[in-house]
Amino acid sequence: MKKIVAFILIVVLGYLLTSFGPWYLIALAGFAGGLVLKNQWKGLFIGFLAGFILWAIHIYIMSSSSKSDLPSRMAEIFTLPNDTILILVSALVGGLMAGFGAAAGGSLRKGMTSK
Amino acid sequence: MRYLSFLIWSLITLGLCYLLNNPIGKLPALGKIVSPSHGFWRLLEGDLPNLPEEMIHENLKDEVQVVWDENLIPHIYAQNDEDLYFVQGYITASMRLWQMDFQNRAASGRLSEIVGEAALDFDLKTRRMGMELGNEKNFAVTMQDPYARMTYEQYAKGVNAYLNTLEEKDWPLEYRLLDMTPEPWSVFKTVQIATFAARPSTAEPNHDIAYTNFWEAYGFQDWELLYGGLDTCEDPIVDAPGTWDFEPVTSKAKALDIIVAPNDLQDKTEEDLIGGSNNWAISPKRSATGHALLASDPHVPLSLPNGSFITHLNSPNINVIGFCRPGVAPPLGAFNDSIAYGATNAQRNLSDWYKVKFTNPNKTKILVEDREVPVKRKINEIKIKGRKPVYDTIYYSDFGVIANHSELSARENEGWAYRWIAQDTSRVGVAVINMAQARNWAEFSRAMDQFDSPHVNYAYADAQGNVGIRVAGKTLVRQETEGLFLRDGTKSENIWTDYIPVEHRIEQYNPERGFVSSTNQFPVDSTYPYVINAWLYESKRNRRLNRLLAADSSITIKEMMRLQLDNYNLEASENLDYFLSMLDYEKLDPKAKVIYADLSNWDYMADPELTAQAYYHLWIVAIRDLAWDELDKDGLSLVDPSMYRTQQLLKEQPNLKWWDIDSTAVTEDARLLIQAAFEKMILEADEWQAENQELEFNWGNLKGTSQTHFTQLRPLSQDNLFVGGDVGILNASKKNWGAGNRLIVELDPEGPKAWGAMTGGQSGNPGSLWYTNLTDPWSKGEYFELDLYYSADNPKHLFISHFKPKQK
Repeated sequence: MKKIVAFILIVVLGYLLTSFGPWYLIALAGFAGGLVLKNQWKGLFIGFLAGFILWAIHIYIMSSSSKSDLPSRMAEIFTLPNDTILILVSALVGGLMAGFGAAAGGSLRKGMTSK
Repeated sequence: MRYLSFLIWSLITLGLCYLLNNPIGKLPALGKIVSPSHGFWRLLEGDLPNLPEEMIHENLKDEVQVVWDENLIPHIYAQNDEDLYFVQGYITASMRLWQMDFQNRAASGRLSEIVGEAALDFDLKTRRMGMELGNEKNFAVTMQDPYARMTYEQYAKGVNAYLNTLEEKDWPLEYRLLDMTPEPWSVFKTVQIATFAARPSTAEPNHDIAYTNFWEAYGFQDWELLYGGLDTCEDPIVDAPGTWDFEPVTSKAKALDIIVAPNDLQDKTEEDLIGGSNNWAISPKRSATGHALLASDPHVPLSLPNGSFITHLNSPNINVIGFCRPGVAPPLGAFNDSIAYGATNAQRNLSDWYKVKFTNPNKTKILVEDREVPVKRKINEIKIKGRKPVYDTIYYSDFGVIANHSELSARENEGWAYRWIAQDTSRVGVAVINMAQARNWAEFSRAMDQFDSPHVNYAYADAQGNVGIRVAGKTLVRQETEGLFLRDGTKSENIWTDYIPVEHRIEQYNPERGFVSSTNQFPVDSTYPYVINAWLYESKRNRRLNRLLAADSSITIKEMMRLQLDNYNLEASENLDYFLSMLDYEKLDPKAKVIYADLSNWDYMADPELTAQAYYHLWIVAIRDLAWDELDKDGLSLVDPSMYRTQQLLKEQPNLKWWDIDSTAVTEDARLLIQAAFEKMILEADEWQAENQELEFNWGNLKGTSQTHFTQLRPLSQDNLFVGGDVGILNASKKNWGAGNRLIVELDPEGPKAWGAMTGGQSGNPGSLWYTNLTDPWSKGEYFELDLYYSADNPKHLFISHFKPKQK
């Protein structure tokens, strides 16, 4: 249950924070989720999953509503084979940021509660 | 200890934040590029581009409506001119902000700030041309004219109003890729772009150094044979012998003072820049429609985004559609309800190199005759991304800008001064405004009087059925061969002082033949009493065009289009038979015989799907390479004679020493040279095929015309446009050059009808469907309509943007 709460928290907070603030606030959203989870490894896992899925879906929606070939052009700039891989790589960035943030949050909460 | 793991995870997270939020080496800040909230994904546009729906601004007096048509051309309807230019600036920035910003930084020699050391040579060269001298004068004359001042100030305010609506995450893609920050626009930046535009007509190429090197090595007689005089005097722009009824001003300069170049003084421009623009205008008596017609297709570097942005400006005072350079409000080629006009470059030798002598190591004075004349010093700081800035000292003298072009000279207390016409005042900023509003030839011609630089040939047609052509640009009074070689900068008579008065201009209005035309050729018949020279004049397109125009007394719009797309290779038609006759058919192997047959049966059309044009092209390139192999020397800047001259000399002097190929044991004559080139051509064709196995060997694929994004990034560019044409052909599309804009206008007194075509698209956003949507129709030779009365009633329009003043 906690995992689901944390997951939803990261996705919602991650979307809102980055809509109004800088992109790296996705890590802060992860951090908040980590606080709920109270565990760094669970944080890392759930945070990564939430960040990855949030970005992957967000990007997929953005790119599928456009016929522009810019995603494949950008993939070429980054020497990636195609735009699908670029979406996955982008989502990986979101996953890592949220995951590390959540690990930090989880470890902090754990440190605070363990005597 | 219990917080240790928190500390580690936090550091990892913060470290990753930092790494991805900043560029690393050549990699841009990844987070700002790939994140869905801030990255390039935001720039992906749907079926409609991102256009402003409503914009309220305190700078506006009245409401302005912008109707975007199906090609994303904005039709701006304003109720006064102040609002008109404000909205034009806003709209242009919304489509091309990065482009104008980037081009301004190129024009001011600031590219190293963005791309690092790779651009240092470019920046040094740009800043040593003395453009700042022209910029200050041009800015002053522009600001003196109240209307011009208003125009450019409002435009700049409009650009900045758009910029102010943007957050960093909205910046165009290129800012993020290059880690660049947008800078506010200003009138001065517009002026800088205009001055920079003078290079292709009067500064590049400049063969002073190459010619001097050649003279040193081979003597003046050989120079005259290979480079002297004109390739052909046939079909100048204005052919009116005996009409030049005035007393010319004479030059006081010493015509020839051969100054030896040190071997570290290099001519930096190597490439032939004969771009290949055409324009012509047809009198009603030759027009099938009974109205005057105008065609204009300036050939430009094929860039993405396109160098121009088509804009319709409408106010109670103005109604004009034209090709506008982003950053400059008025169009450079356009039509209004009374007139139409378009430009080609007018090549002129108006940049000189002088050797000057400093009188002391502190370089405060130079020697002129026996006087010591002080020079003004300026230190340019060139900021470079990723390293310390470079400081470059330049000096201002009457011989131009002295800079450290040669270490060898500097040791002897000598320097090289560069003088260029764009260092003088140009009122072009005022001229282009007046042209767009001109109603007749008198007004147009008066506006042209102020077109001091860049040097261009303007063709003109109007609704009353008049046509005219004007060779515009302030020009120096020269002697024969003056300024073709390095000059003596210790003689005061060599300082530029005498200019051709505007009353002696080259201009023609309603000529008997019923049309005017220009194709970058020599401007005037031989009875014009001034010396005119440049490094290269067109010798083929002019003859092809005039021949076709003179033969047709009822020219239709379709034929006007067909002329712009004409792929007839006149040069091949004049030389191929001769080249083939130099081959010994019986001795050719079977494969060569097939190529021989292909060429023999060729109709001289440089169509993309043909192989003959591809073989012919490779053959003449090989002929030129082998003929002038002697001039390919390491460390010495030399230049090949023109193709026209090469072919002429081969035919007329088959035993010239130049035909010998240095790398062979035999002594070649013209025949053996052409045979060797034929074999080389076959090898080159095989090599190309081996390297491009997936492509069919034909002209379109061999040429590989492409549009390159300003960043030079291939993925943002568009490669392998399958189009015909070549240098010397009316459709002069080369690999990186071509007719980026095409315009045809019928000057119907009831309202003009016009057609256009362009490469790329109106949008500068690579994430827009309008980034390259016009390339395909352009490649196929299709045109779209340009409607001076396009309104929101047109069912095909895409969108309407409303601009409103702030309520008081």
